Amino acid sequence: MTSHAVLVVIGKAIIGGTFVVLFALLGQVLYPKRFSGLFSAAPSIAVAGLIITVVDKGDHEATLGAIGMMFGAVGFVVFALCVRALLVRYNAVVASSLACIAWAVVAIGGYLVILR
Amino acid sequence: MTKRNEPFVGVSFGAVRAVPRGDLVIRFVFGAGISVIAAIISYVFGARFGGIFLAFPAILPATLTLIEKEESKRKAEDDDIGAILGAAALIVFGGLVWWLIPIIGAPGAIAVAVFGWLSAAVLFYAVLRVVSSRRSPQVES
Repeated sequence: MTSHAVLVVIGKAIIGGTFVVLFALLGQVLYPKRFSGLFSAAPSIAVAGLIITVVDKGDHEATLGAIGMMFGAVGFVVFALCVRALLVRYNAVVASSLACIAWAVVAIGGYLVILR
Repeated sequence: MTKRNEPFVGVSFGAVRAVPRGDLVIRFVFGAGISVIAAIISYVFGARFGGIFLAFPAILPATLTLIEKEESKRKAEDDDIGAILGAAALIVFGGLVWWLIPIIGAPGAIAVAVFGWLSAAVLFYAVLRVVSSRRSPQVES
């Protein structure tokens, strides 16, 4: 990894973390919970990643990133549905951890099946 | 189930002061960590595959855990219902970025996509409220 690539990764980390906190705070001030929950699925990492990608590599790379992102978003819907079902039996930590497996299967599996 | 007198949306700025600094640090570290993973995967496997991780559920696990610990499991479930709708709107966000970048360029496309995400999420929420209020009787909060 070149020093330029390391700088890009650091930039994405700082902006990604900042956007996550900002959207989380936005969700905190809004109610009821069902509405504020919308911001738990805000495009925080996506906006940060896409902005740095555009600055670093241009529009085309961001377009490619958006294609992959749609698979991740479908996985996110399945993740949240699984959490809803798992919360009946498990606590939030266990439910979220198990649902991450569903996200990976749907997002990565769907990508590999459709685009490979 | 929609509670009687529950507003469509409300704002409580005082809630920000109640957020422990440690919770924000956890969210920052989690968001930064996922961003690093997405960036490294993009670097190694290409931007299209790395893009999958731009929609990793970065905020939700920490949020649900904190709500369950500090409030109740029922409120965590309610937050998760909102997240299902927000995640569905995330597909709209990705689609708008992909469609609009060749037409209006990346800065405009990302700005429109954020607005599109918010619009779609609020629309889905409004539909859910209408459907749930028709299906079940309203209850006292």
